Amino acid sequence: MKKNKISRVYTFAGILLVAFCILNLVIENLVYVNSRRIYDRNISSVEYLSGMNDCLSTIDDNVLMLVAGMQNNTGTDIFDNIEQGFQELFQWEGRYNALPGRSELEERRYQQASLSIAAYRKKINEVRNVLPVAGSEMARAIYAQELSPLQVCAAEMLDATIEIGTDQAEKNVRRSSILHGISQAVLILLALLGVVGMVIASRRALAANDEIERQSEELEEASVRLDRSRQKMEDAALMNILTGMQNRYALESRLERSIGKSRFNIAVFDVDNFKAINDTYGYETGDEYLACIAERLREQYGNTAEIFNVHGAEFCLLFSDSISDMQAQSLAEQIRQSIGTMIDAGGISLRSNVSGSLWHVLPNENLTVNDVLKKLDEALHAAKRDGGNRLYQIT
Amino acid sequence: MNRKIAAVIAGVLLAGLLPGCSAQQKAEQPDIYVICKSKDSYWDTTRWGAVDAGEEMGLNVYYEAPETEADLDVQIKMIQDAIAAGADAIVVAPLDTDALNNVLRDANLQGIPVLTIDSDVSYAGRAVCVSTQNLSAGAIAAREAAELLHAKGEVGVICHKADAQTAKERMGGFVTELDGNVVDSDGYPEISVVDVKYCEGDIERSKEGTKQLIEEHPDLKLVYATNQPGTVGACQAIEELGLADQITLVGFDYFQGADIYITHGVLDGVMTQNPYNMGYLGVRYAKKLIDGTAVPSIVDTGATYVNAANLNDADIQWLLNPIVDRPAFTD
Repeated sequence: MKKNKISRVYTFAGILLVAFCILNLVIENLVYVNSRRIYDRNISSVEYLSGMNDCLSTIDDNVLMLVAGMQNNTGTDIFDNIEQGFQELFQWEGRYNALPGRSELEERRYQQASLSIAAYRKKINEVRNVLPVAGSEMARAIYAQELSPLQVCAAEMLDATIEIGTDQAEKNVRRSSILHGISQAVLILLALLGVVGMVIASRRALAANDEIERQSEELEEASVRLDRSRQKMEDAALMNILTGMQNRYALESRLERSIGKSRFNIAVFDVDNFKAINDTYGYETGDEYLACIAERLREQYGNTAEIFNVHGAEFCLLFSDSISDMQAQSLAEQIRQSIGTMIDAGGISLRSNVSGSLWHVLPNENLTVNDVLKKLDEALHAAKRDGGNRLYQIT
Repeated sequence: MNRKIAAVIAGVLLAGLLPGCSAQQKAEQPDIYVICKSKDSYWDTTRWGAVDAGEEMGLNVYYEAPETEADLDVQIKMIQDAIAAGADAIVVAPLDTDALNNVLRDANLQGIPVLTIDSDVSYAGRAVCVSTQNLSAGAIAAREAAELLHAKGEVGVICHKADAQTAKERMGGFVTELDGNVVDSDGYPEISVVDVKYCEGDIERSKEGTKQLIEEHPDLKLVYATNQPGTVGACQAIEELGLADQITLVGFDYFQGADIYITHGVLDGVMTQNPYNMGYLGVRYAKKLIDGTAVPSIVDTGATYVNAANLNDADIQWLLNPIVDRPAFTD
């Protein structure tokens, strides 16, 4: 149970960790790709717009050559060079127009730059027939008053477009970084929560396990108590309450283990006319008398034999294996007489004759418990019939 | 784990990962005050240029203007307030060439760069003037007029004010170009400026002035008007007299309805300024000054001659209606 629960917690933690790592990789990748895209777009944008601006400068140089009345070194027509400059500028413009992701502000400024370039080109074409024939001062005036403002304006608008694009790219990258930071923080928080959850779950699992162990111990104790109780009940079933000695059932049980397995000596004693004592002195005295007999037997022969109070005033002694047949015979007589000596029972001195029977039971006699007890009883009753106060040995 | 410790760790992580809040960035944006000449709708175009530049460059642009162009004192007060408010730069369309010099000097003493737009001041401390160069505009108008006259004929002028800087320059540039005195050329000897009527920038007076010119000079071939009301008045006069085919008109500052006069041949051409670019470049150069970037002292935003031939060109249409898709200002 405990292992299962802890195993589940660690499995969950493992899955959480893997999910954390995968999510982290995905976010890192997205941020990188986005930043890279913004960076590449901005680099291209700056390159193309700068290309347009360079073309404007080249065109302006050519216009100034016209104004100054200079000839082109290559011998080509300066207007052809100017037009070539515009064509090159339009190529840059085409590349720039193909770029995706232009912001609204950048678009607005670029449109104005584009219109300014168109106005500049138009004005050059308008004055192309005037400039070469005009006097140099006139040409300079036309340049300063009409061409230069348009060229300056176009260049400023292109510069502004570059700045807006760069600024926007920086903002986007910054936003991307902030999003990345927030994502990382959330992921770390999730991981922390996962660890905290795991610790809490482990603690709960351990607490549950302690509870189970405690309940198990209680169950075990209850079981022990039940066993003891059962034992007591069994003991009570096998015990004579009055004398505290094992009763007939205990004797039968004991004999089951010995009959047919080994030889043993067993003797049965009964107080002659015990009924007369009860009748004369009452049951209380009778009971006290039997208790005293039992006490005496336990004291004197407890080490020599297992003693049973079969019922009433009948006692049975199962002698130890170490006791020989001869010794058993002698001891049985000794016991019979011992029981019959004077006993002080509740202030009343009592004595009575005792009859007994003894049997040297052999293992090969194929007997049952009943056979043994019946034979002993028969011998005991025979002794009583013959006047009592004697011991008969079964042969 | 202890909940408080976890919360503190999370807080520190989040705080560390969120650099530069927007409020802080807003506070770091320079404050640029743009003060124009009046609340006339003409200046809305300039204002939009300034607003766009502020938006694109991350600047706080504060726009103000007196009710009319007669409120010189109000404009001076506005500049003083901008200085007191800690402006990082002041862009002003001055109502007078000399009257603002002291307050602009005060701004400079506070370390605030000053730029002029539309027209200039005589104060040498202003950093940049972003405007139409009126001498140039007058010269361009003269060349266009000469072409229309085939370099021959009498010319009359409807001028808005004898002592206004813009009037003097637009007149001066026009006449000088025709005379060929400044440029090293003969000019246009067969063109003569026969009369100048000063009409105070008033449409009715300009209309009357035009009629007088035509009446007093029977051989008059061309009228040159130096500002918008003058041009409107001249258009009305020529139209009323039914002399569109006989009298050529070159005006100044495009106005609503001018395209109709152009289409009908009443107005042959009009010099058009670029007020949007004045506002835009004024703020842009103000930012450059704040950043310590070198700037030219004069930026010519140009003057474009608009006539029937180019009226519908895309660049001209934008020049005439740069804020056509923008909402009106409510303040």
